[in-house]
Order: sequence, then C-alpha cells, then structure tokens
Amino acid sequence: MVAAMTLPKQKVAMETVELSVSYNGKPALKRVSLAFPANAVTALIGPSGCGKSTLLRCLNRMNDRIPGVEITGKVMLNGEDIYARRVNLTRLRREVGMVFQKPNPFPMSIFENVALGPRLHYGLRGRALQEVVEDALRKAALWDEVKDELHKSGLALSGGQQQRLCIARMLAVQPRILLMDEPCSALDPISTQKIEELIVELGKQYTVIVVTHNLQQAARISHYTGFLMYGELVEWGETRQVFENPTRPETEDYIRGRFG
Amino acid sequence: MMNAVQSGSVRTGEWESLAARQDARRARKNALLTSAFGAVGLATVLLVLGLVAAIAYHGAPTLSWEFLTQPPREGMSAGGVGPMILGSILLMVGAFLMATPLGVFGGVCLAEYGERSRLMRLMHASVAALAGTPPIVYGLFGLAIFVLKFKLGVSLLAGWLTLTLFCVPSIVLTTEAALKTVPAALIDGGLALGLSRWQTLWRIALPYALPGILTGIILSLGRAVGEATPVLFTASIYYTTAETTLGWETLRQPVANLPYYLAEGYRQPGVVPERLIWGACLTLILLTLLLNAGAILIRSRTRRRYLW
Amino acid sequence: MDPTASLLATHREGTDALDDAEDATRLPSHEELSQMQALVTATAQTDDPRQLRPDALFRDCMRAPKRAEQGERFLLLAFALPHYTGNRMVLAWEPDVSFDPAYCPYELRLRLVRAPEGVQVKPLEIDLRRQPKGSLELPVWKARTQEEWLQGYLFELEARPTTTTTLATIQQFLMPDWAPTILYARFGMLPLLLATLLITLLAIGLAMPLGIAAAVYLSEQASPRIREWFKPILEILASIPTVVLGYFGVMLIAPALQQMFGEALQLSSGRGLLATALMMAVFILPTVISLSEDALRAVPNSLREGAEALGLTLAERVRLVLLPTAKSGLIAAGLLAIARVMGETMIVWILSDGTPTMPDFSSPAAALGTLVKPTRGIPDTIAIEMGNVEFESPHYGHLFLLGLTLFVLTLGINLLGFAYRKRAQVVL
Repeated sequence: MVAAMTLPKQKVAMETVELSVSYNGKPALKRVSLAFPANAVTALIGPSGCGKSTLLRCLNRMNDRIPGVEITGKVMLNGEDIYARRVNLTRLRREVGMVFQKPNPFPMSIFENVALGPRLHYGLRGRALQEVVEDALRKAALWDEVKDELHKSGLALSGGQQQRLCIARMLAVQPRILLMDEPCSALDPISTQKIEELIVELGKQYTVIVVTHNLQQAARISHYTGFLMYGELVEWGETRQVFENPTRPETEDYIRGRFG
Repeated sequence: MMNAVQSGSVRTGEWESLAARQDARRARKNALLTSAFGAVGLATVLLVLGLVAAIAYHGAPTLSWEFLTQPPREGMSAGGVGPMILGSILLMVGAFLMATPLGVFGGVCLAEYGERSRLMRLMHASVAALAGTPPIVYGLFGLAIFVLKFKLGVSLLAGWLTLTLFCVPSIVLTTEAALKTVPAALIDGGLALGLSRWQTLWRIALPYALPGILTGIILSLGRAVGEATPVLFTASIYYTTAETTLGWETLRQPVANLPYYLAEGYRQPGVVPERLIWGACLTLILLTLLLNAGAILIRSRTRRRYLW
Repeated sequence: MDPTASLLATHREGTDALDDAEDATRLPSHEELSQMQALVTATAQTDDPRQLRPDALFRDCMRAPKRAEQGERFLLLAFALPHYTGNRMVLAWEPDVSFDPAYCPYELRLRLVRAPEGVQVKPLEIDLRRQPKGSLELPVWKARTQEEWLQGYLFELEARPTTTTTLATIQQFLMPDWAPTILYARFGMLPLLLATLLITLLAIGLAMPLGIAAAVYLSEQASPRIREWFKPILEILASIPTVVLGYFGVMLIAPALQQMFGEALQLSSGRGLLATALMMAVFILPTVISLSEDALRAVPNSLREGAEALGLTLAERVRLVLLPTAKSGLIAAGLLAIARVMGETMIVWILSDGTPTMPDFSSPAAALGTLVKPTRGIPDTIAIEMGNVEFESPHYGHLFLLGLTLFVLTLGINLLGFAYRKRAQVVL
C-alpha cells in the first residue's frame, strides 16, 4: 500500500505517520501516512466504515474518549507529535477545530455559543469579545441572518444555520486547521450548498479537512482528496487527478459507483 | 506560533500570549474540580462501606440461630427477634402477592396508552407523584380507611393493604420504564406475525421486560420491608414475648416487625439492650441486602443474555 | 361546710328537647327553667361568693368543638345562699393557664340576661377572648328555696365560631404553638412545618452539591468498570432502612455533635436538628446521585464532543455545558429529593424527638441553638402522637390535617418535579 504520500510543492499543515487505530482489538485504521496541505481543502472519501471518520477524529484526539480504543503511530503538528506524552489537549484543540455531522449548538444564546470559546481560551471580555464573535459569525456567513437576535437560543435556528453557528463557534477559537465530519449530511440541499460555498471560502485562509461520503461534494469543494478503504489509505492526490485519473483500480471502481 | 487569521481587534501575534495567560489557571482549576468530583465519589463509596461495616461490627456478635428464631424474653430485654423477622416477612410476602399484579397491570396500561390522551398523562403524573408520597401519609390513609373505616383493626390484613398501596405506584413506574426499553422492532415483529396487540404484549414485550420488572418489584419490596411508617398505625405491635402462631386469625391480629421493633426499642431506652438493637439492625440490613442482591443478580444475568 | 353561693348552669343546644326548632335566642320561661333543673350539667357551689367561676363551663365549650360549630350556649344562674352576710357578690372568671384567646376559634361572650326582681344592674356583655380573666360585682341576691334559685341572676355564656370552623382551623393551624395535650389545646402547625423545612433545606443543601459532584464523576470521569461497581454500592446505601440510619446517627453522629456543642449549649445529647439533617443527607444521597446521573446521561453525546472539540477542559465542559443542559433534570432530581426528605419519618423521630419549637435566628447563639437542639417536624409528630390519641378528638383530626398538609406539599413538589422531568425530555 501507499507508504507516505506528500506533495512536496505544498506547505504541510498536519501529517499522520503510520497511524493505526483499533477499537477493542478490531482494527479501524491501518498504518495511514498522509500529509494535509496548508490553506487548502482536503476531502477524505471512502465507503462507510472505511475509517475516514476515525482518521479525522484522530487529528484532534477526539478518539481518546472512546473506551477500548488503541492508537499507534504519530500525528505531527508544528513538528510535534500530538500523541506524545505531555501534549496539552486544550492547546491542540485551540489549533485544530472540529464540526460534526449533526449540528450541535449548545442550549444557550447564539452569542454565548460563539463567545464561550474565546472567553475561556483568551480571557476576552466586553468589546474585544463582541468583535471576535461578530468576526467569527461573519466568516461563517451567519452574521447577516442573526445579528439582530444574538440573544436567541442557538437551538431556535434552522439546521443549516445551526451548522454555520457551529462553524462560527469553532472559528472564534482561532484555529488554523478545521476538521469537518460530514458537515452537510444532516442538512437539506439549500443549506448544503451554503455550507459548501462556505468551505470553499474558508479553504483560502484555513487548512480544511472534510470527511464526506458525497463524491460530487468532494469534487466540488476540495483541492486534495484521500480515498480510504478497509482502514487503509488507497489513493491520495489532487482532487482532479483522483477523480479523473485514479492510479488504483479500487479508486476507479468506487468513483464509478461500482460499490460503496 | 502564528495564527493564520486576523480576528477582531486582537492583533495576529497576540492570541498565543493571551491564551498562555489563561491556560495554567484553567488547568489548575480543572485539576482541582475533577479531583473534587472523584473525591466525592470515593467518599460516597467509603460512606456506604463504613456504614455497613459499622453495623456488621456491632451486630455480628449478637447474631445467632437463637437470636433469629426465639421470641424476646424477660420483658423484651433478652431473647431473640424471631416473631419480628417472621412478621416482616409475612408483611412483605402479602404485599408482594397483592401489589405485583396491580402494579404490573398498571404499568402495562401506562406503557400501552401512556401518552395518548390528556387523561392518561394526568394518570401518569399522579402515579409519579404517588410514588414520591411519604410513607407516613400511606400509614395515615391505611389507619383511616382500612383500620377504622373497614374496621379491620390494627392487623396484618390492614398492614398488607397499606403496604400494597405503598408499593404499587413504584412498581407501576418501573414496569412502565422496563416496557419502554423493549425495542420497537420486536413489537413490530410480533404484530407482523399476526399477533394481536395484547398477545404481542403478553408473549413478546413482557418476557423481554421481565427482568426490569422483577428488579423494580424487588427493590420496591426491599423499601417496604425496611419502612416502619406505613405499618406503624396499621399492623404493628411492639411488645411480644410469645411466638407467633400462624392461622386464619393471624390476619386480624397485629404483628411484630423489625422496623417497628427498632423504632420503639430505641425510643424506650433501657428496655431493649443495645446489643439486641444492633443485632436487629444487622438482621434488617441483611434482609434488604438479600433482596437487593437478588435484584442485582437478575440484572446482571439478563444483561449477559441480551448482549449480542 | 355549707356553700354560701351557687352557680348553676345548664347547657343548651340545638337538639335540646326544650327549644327544638325554636328561636335559639329566646330565653326560657320560668317553667322551662325549672324543668331544666334536670339538665343541669355543671354546678359550682362555693362558700365564697367571690368564687363563682364560670370557667369550667367555658372549658366544656372548648372541648366540644363539633357541637360548638353551630354555636353553643350555657345558662348560668348565680345566687347566694341565705346565710351569706355580705351585700355584694362577685362573679369571677379565670380560664385555665393554657387558655390563649389567639388559639380559640370561638367568640366567647358572657351576658347578663336577667337580673333578679328588684335589683338594678346595667346590661352586661363581656367578650371573654378580650378579657379572659376578670370579675363582676353584683348586688347580692339570696335564694332560700330551689324555686328562688331560678329567680336569681341569669347569665348566658355563648360560644360561637368566629368565622367558619374550617377557616378558623386553618388560621389556628398557622399559629406558632403546637400543644395538643394541654387543657386548651393549641394546634399551631408552624413550628412543625418550619422544623421540617429547615431539616429539608439543610439536608438538600448538603446532599445536592455532593450528589451532583458524585454524579458528574460517575457519568463523565469514571471508567465503565468503576461505574459497574459503583451502582450496586449506591443501591446498598439506598436500601438501608431509615430506622437503621436513624439509629446509626444516634450512636455515631449525635455523640460527635455532643462533644462539639454539648458544653456550650448544655445539651443532654447530640440529637437534634443538625444530626437529623446530616443523616437525612446520607439518606437522600443515593437518590440524588442516581437521579442526577440520569439527568447528566440524558445530555446528548454530541454536546460533550462539541464542547471537547472546542478545547474546553472537563471542568469547563461540566460547568458550562453539561450542567446547564441537564438543568431541568437536575431540578427534577432536587425536587423529588426534597419531597422524600420532607416526608421521611423515622430519622427525625429517632434523631430529633424534641418539643415543637419555633426556629429562632435572632442572635448567633439562638441560631446555633435552633440548629443543634432537638425539635419536632410534621411526620414525626404524626408518628409519635397518633399512638395515644383519642379517636375523633380534635387532636386526632389535627394529626390528619398534618398528614394532609404533608401530602399536599409533597404532591405539589412531586408534580413540579414530574413536569421538570418531562421538560428535560423535551429539551434534549
């Protein structure tokens, strides 16, 4: 299989080295080595159960909380292994933000949802906090819709708005890397389109890693694509190349819709 | 470390220093709070073990075959607590026989028709409220209705009826909760096989929920057997030196029981020696623990059975 | 010695053969009065006309509240016997020391209905609740024959419910004195209610934070294995009968408190409100833990993950996300716990067992005394006093009223708790 796939011309934001994960002895990810280019959108695709979500969740150590999990290998960020002993998880997650499949705003006001992170991480108060919240909501393309009702509960928003609120909440913490775990799969087509546009926009400033089972979506929004199957990284390259000219037959089969 | 993006009035380089100022404090606070939570958890366990150990330590020397079977002698100041144990068990068994069908039936009704109408929602709320009603209120009710109105007198029968009332609401609630855990697929499967609603319930849902229901019944009986107040005015007698002889007339006679023996024995200091009280405490705890162990056993066995 | 003065009384009520269906305010005629001789229910004869006391009658009136619901009247005849030499006689009244007009739900009036022929006195009407103790000076009237007794002073002692009996009972129920066994019994529930509330407040104030902390540990920190051990241990604690907990408190907690406060407050034992509240906290702790844990577990995992991905520490996740989200469920847990503590009888009965006292927080010393000394709550009062109460006496009735109060209070709290639990299910 593929040992290490890097694209030397691009600056690397994050990198996995021989990363393996198993749940209660059952392997979910097998020696995946892969580098995520900075300031670009990378899509992870593959049939369900292929380990793409597992891989994503390893990047900010969200798998730690699952009982029975065992992780070997390295995930390098800024030249350090995030699985090394004395890593500060708070700091890691400040740098690597994440949004989930199902929008999960906290049951508090829109403002509070976004303000929670910067207040805790940076001790911001008052004006500075308001500015950060506004900025995050603007970047998440939500500001114009909610600026007059910031005190309203985050749960009162529509599904798509909730997901953008979650993105704003993540952005307010000032991460550099954004992990998105099927961010549109619970949304209607119009909301999906908005989020996709947002991802493209964010890709200009942030390193975005998106897991999706929607191939068209991956093709539309990503610069790079990794294809996983049975816990192994099968193919990795620029999106256009992966979709139009895959090097491996499995990738071709999957993209042509022969299985998965 | 550089943050990629400018945000608000905080300058690009500033974020990291701002965060550094918070991090240590947050970590300290986190460590403090999480260890406090753990300490409270640990303290709770120690409290339970300490309680049980203290009672076992004080009560164990008294425990003997004679103590468990003989009636009190010499004006309650010596002998055993045989009639009290017998009375407690009699009260519990009667309550079990009466409360189980009523409670399970009620639980089935609630689970079946639960959220459908306003009336049923009201019923649900009232059952929940009754389950939280203090035992002393049941005692008073039993006194007014069974002892006085129905003229049963202070008797085993009145005690049974009162304890039954006391147990039914909680059995209804646990039965309902257990039935709610039955997977909808199982019910649909039954209905798809052409079974009627009641047959499905009877043949499929009830057996699946049975362990949960049994656990609920046992726990509720455990509470009833240790509770002195419902039987205080309805069935209890303190002073006994004779062995209880069982017969039809027992129904109309008051019975001695462990909780009441303890309550009165404590309140009339000097009559019952301390060691007898500790012994009775331990006996009562063993009785409730036995019931609890049964419940835990049922639960762990079924967990294994349904773990696929 | 021959009595020199006499007070004859007869009791008149609606069912009395004499004035059945007649105007109750009409005075009996001479003939009727002589017939009523047979019905005399109380006589006070004394050799000193200064001691013509109607208070015995007054007392009867208080003892028969059922009859008094319609209003009750006594007729009193006062006269001196022939060998009395003075020219004044005194009608004095003084109730039993336990009489407190505030607890008397009746209007009590003493009225002079008729003076003997030839004697001039002003009309008299005395409100005995305003003036529970007093005397009247009257020109002497001597009666030589039984016939003449009837021609003496005729007084009327009237008891009439102040408002409706129910209202009066409720009014009295909120008074600060519970003394059911004295002559003029007082059924003020307030000290019992306050003691119960105070015990509940202390116990819940202690058990709630601890219980929530343990629940947080169980649901957020502990490994599944620890949790598996923890649950049965909690169930053991939950299954320990309250009688045993009470006894445990007496043997271990009370002596410790006695050592701490015994000398300063001259306590005979450490039993009291604080010991009760501590044991109540132990009693309710397993309930609080398991209900709070249920509430925390009802918080969807997606919120936990969201908060964790945001870089919140465990403590921050708990404080800022989990607890606020689980708020309704936690409130429900607290309410159910309150209802259970309020109604718990045996622990208070065994561990407190004092006289009903009003809590006193006027000074630090008084407050400490209130907290440490024995007191009496609602449920234990019912349990203790129901044992030796006369069937259908006012005391008996008031114990049921206490039970009703407890029932209504806990019912309300339980229903509120139920509503909160439902709300928790809707929110999540």
